[in-house]
Amino acid sequence: MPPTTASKKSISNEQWEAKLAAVKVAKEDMNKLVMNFLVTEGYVDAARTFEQESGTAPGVQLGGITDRMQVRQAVQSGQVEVAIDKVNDMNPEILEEQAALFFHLQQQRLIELIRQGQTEAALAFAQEYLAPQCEDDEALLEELERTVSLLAFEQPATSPVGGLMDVVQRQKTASELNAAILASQGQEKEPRLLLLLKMMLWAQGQLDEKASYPRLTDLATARLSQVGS
Amino acid sequence: MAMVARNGNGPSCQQLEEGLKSSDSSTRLQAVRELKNTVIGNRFKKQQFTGLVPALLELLTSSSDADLLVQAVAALGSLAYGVDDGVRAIVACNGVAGIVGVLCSSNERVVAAAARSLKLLYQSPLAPRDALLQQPVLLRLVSLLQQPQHDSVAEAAASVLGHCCTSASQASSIAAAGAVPALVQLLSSQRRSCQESAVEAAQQETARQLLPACLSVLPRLVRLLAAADAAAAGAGVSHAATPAAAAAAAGSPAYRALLGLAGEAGDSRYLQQVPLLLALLMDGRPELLQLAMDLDAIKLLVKLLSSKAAAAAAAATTSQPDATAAAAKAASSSKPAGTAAAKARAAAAAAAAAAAAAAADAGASEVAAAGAACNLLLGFSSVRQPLIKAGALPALSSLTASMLPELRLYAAWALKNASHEAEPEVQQQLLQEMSWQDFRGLLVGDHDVRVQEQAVGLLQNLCKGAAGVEQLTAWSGNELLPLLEEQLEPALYSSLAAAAAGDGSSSSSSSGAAADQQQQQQQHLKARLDLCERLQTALEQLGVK
Repeated sequence: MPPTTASKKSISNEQWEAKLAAVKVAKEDMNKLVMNFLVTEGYVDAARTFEQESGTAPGVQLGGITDRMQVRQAVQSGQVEVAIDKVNDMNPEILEEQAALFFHLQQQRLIELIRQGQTEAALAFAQEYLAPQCEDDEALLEELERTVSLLAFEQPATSPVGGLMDVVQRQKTASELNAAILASQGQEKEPRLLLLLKMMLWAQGQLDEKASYPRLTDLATARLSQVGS
Repeated sequence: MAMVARNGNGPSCQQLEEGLKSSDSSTRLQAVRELKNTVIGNRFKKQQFTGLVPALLELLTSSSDADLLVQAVAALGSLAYGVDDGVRAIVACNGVAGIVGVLCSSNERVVAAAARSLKLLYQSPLAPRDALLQQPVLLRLVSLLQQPQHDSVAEAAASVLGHCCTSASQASSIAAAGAVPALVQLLSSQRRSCQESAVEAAQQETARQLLPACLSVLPRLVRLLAAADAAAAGAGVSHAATPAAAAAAAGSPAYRALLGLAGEAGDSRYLQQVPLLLALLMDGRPELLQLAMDLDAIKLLVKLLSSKAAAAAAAATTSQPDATAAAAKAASSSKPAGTAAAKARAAAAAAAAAAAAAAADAGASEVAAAGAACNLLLGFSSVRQPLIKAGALPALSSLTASMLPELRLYAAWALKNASHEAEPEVQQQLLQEMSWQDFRGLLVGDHDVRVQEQAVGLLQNLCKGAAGVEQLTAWSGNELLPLLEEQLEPALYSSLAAAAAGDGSSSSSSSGAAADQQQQQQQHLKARLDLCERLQTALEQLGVK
């Protein structure tokens, strides 16, 4: 019988929380999820400490993660050339084969030059390194134009494209590179926790059509909404 | 490190060359490192710095500093990747020998870098294959295959060997050097890129040697096929917005290009090999057929068949709209206009040629899949059912319309096998899937006599089966019996018999080429005669005298 909006089931917070309390999740599973997150994102020291404190096995050689972590840290501190050098030593095929990733790294170098106020150097760099790659690709050209437009403003950070100057942009680039390295090593690109959260959001979406119930509106706090409010 | 100078410009060719030739070791190292980081991923820079190949090779042969060697060989590999001029420059300076020399180093990092460089270099068809198949080098490469803790090195070695495996004799050399056990080992690796490289290397002769180990190999191959299938499906969803997805939906060359874009599924070359290997390994061995069935290999093969069939059909229809329109116009016009009809025929011929070119491009894997389906549809009824349930019949029926004679042959053969002593439902399905027009085309219209043979076999099975005279007649729109009678017209029959018998006597005085031609004609006639006899049997089956 297809559900109609009129006959949507309603579940109160008490009922919902009672059902939740009845579900069992093993502590070991949660520990593994946390360890998987730390390892995938490259937090080696945290992973080591967590291993000691919880007794959870890391599942991979922590020493092998160090290179990857150094690459990530280099990008996040704005030292893109160092990251490029390191990733090329780890596996030159990564940047050879992934044009979009390569572009984003060069784009980050451009952003750093702009951040340092080196306007002429930035323009020359864009012309020599970035423009040729955009010849065949409109999407990349658009991104290049947005980045170069930073130079038109006296205060690039507060301009409409100022988001590019933000540290979040560095993290985005770092994550993209990290995922590529993981993939080249035959490992999963994303932490399992992310997959679980996506599944939960999808399931909520499905349930929304059939019932009104306490929803998780804030992933970070996992607070449930109040039904009927 | 000064990768980009103060004014934003990168190092010039001259600056780098000076750095490479400097007497100071740290200057040399810095120059090589800069060069490496500039060219990796940057097609334009590679072209700009191709002239530095000789200087780099000089460093390879003269230096013993591990750090320097790692950077230099990496730069060389990168200069060759995707740039023909780079490959030519390396070959011209006898660069392969230089890189191979470094491959034999005792330093692991150097060996790893050299192996990866070779892998990049040998993706180009311009790289000299035979140079790597000489004994000391070949043995070194094979020994690198057996490095369990260094997956990337083994993978690189397998990839290089795979690219050197373009002829039967090359494959034999590689197999003779003992590569096969190591390749089997690689196939069991956790990393899909290792498996893919191993599949690339396992071709032709080496594949036959895989047979003893095939029980462990087969699951791997099936998993590779499944992974590629899933990646293509997933990639189709995630690339939905791009033109690539539209292209992928339209035809099989784009399907392969999309796999390349998706990255996950790896090089499309291996995707061609997997069905071939599967077909080879399953050839007539019941335990393997059973294993294949258990592993859902059936579903995957059928999926491959139907996707290629759909792609071929799509390619055919998109290239023929003009022909169809012209033909329709010519047909509908009242007077038999010679020029319009000729135009339609010319357009149809051009479109057919284009479609043939498109289909020919996609040759090997469908043929292999159809060949595998042939074997799987044989008497082992436990394997036949799942295959038919998975939709093999529609897929095979559409393949009988292919431009490739091999594909038509295997598809018709597979259908014949499927119909042999088949259940009534299966026969019904066959009649539903296959239109009389298409079947008639195979039976009397096909240029390849082998295809006609299989079509006759299919007809025989149908006649012997539960379908019955009325149903078959209805299916054929009452054309079946007249067609058979026409084919068996007594005059035609006797002239064929005379021609076949008569040709043998006059060949003794002819030259070699003419005798060959006569022999071919004789064989052709004999084949026609055989067909006629079988059609006669079919008629008798239908209860018509």
